[in-house]
Amino acid sequence: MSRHPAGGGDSARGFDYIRSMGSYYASRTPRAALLAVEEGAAPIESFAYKVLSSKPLFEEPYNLEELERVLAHPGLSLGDAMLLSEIFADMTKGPDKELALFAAESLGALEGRWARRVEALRPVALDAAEAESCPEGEGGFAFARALFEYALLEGRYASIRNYYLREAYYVLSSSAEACASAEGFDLRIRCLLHLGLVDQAEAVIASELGKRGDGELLVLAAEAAFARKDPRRIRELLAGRELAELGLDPDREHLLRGWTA
Amino acid sequence: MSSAVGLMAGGPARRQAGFACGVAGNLRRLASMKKEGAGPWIEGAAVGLLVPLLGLAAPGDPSFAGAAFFPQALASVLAAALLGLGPGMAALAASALSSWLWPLAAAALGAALVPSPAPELLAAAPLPAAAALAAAAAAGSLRDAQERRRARLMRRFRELVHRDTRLSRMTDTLIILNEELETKVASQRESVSTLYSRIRKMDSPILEESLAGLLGAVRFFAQADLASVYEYDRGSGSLVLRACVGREPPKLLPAEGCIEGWVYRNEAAFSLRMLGSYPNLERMDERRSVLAYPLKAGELSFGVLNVESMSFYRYNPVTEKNLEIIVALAAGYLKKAVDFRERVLRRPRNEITGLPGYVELSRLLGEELSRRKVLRSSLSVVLVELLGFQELVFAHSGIKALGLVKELAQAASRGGHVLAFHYKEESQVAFLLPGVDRDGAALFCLEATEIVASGEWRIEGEALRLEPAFGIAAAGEGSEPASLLAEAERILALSRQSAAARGGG
Repeated sequence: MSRHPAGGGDSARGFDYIRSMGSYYASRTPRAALLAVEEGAAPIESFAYKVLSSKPLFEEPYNLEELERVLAHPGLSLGDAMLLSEIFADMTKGPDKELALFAAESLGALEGRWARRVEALRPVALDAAEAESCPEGEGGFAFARALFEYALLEGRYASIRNYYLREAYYVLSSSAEACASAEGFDLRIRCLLHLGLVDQAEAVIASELGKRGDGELLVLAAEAAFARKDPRRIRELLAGRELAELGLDPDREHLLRGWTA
Repeated sequence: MSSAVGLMAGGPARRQAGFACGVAGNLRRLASMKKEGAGPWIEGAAVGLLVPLLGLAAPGDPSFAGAAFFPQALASVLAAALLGLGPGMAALAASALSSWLWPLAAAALGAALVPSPAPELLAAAPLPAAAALAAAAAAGSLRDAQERRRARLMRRFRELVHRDTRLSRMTDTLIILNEELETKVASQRESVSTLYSRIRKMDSPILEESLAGLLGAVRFFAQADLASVYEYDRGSGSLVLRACVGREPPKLLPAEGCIEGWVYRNEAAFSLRMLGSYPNLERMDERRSVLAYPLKAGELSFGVLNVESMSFYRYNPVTEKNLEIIVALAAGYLKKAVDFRERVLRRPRNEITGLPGYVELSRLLGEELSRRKVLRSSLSVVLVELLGFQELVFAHSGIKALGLVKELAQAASRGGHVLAFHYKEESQVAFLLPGVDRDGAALFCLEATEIVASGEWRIEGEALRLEPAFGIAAAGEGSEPASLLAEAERILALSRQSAAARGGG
């Protein structure tokens, strides 16, 4: 059976499905299509068609159903939330009032989720700070992380964003245990970089660079140098480093490799 | 005939093969019995040994010879039916043995039993033994066949369960994989369709709108916080800020001595990583550029696109290439916007309303019609006349009445891709609606009516009630500017008459 897109058995069957797709169960998502195939309610072509019909959320006109579906996902990651926030913020500026209202409500729902997370973690962090016995500063770090994420989501309003960034920085700085961990330290640097306090971030990084040789700190140091538009410093930081041995994820390794080329 | 010979010739061989199969089947059966263990055999033998004990209740005929060995025969058949052929046979053999052994053992122990004499037992045994053997064989075979079928079904069932588990695992993996891919596709920034939708936003004859579209695309693809567009001003010989996103950069830049100027003069792109390799650039650097591209309007140099701040994680050759593509695609749209600015916006305008006049309208309409003939896209003209305009002029002044026209033109043009012109009379405004058909033009008229009806119109504090009349025309096959405007005027006249009739009534 040919698999060539120009023709052959599979393609012909696929087109047969497209011609008669109205007579099958119409799945909204590829997952639903797969379940329909499992239950025999639709042919396997319906799953392939649905999977291959996925399109970027950014594509205009925006697909409201798809946006709603992603928004309703209980395990929405920060990356996806920021992406949705960018789309909704763009929609609020559009001429269509109904769409703008939908976008504003969705933005509110999205931010509400992160705000609730912050409020849920606040008492835990405060208790931990009072008890001063939280193992590895977990309460403080989780709270600071939630504040940082909320600040990124509120990126449209510089004042609100900076307020939460400062609060995250303060939480990390006041918890010695939270700041002692590499994650806590890196988050503190990120707060400074997002606040535009590049010199302060560089000074803090410089004190740690001699102690830690991991890639994440190096990326932060390079980011700080980039914010100062200082390519010479980035090259100095990366000189003589074996990037493959830093344990970075491929994207970041590729990013740094671009500076050494 | 030959086939018959063949069949005959093949007959013994097939029989031999059948016999071999039968032997093999029996061996398999025996093997399966071995697999089941000796338990059923022992159970069968025990049943066979114990059932004759009932003979203790019949001292005259302890072997039940008179009843043709009924309990022994029944026990072996039951054992065969419940435990299988082998145990059934074992029960039969044990029964036969015990029918002779128990009485002897009892006699040896001095029990008061009358043993059945062996010759009599043997004489009475053949028929019941044969019947028991046949019945036990039949029952045992049936039971074994059923057991084999059950075992086969169980094996098949186990295989199916195993397959089902594997399929469920595969489905779960597919779902996870698919969700991962879907997320990657959904959050994808660099896609042709996204690029297309962003590029389309540059398609506007208004330069500000076109540049806003360009900066929107740059912001999107580079995740830039600060970006600006400078146009080279030939008069002053410097770069003038035309549009920006984020914090406002300097409004004026020299064409020499800065990176933006270098990019414009050399028509070469700049990237931050070039600083280490070009000492001349390092001297000019004022830490204002991460990326900078020369902008063209068609073939002519227009200015510079400068990205001042962007995500570190987006600064890579892919983003640089994407911005290059965006800049190249922007050239056509910038040319259109710059041409429009030169041809229409820089022409004489009404001093009060700031709108271009009828001459500009007819010229632009002619150009748009010839352009749209090739593109086969829609174009409409809407004429709006403020009724009772002369009364307003007499009551207040021409300047103030024209102020109302200006407000109306601005309100109606807001939020859409609409161009407003003065028409033949001062009370008339012509709206050019590119890409809009007759339905869209009718909708525009409805919206304009709503604006007029819901707006608060005042001159020197006096509230006014404005009444507009509309004329619309949509470009069709072979439309000419004159015919299109004539059609709009005809409908405007009808609308005016209708309003007059309403007023008269």
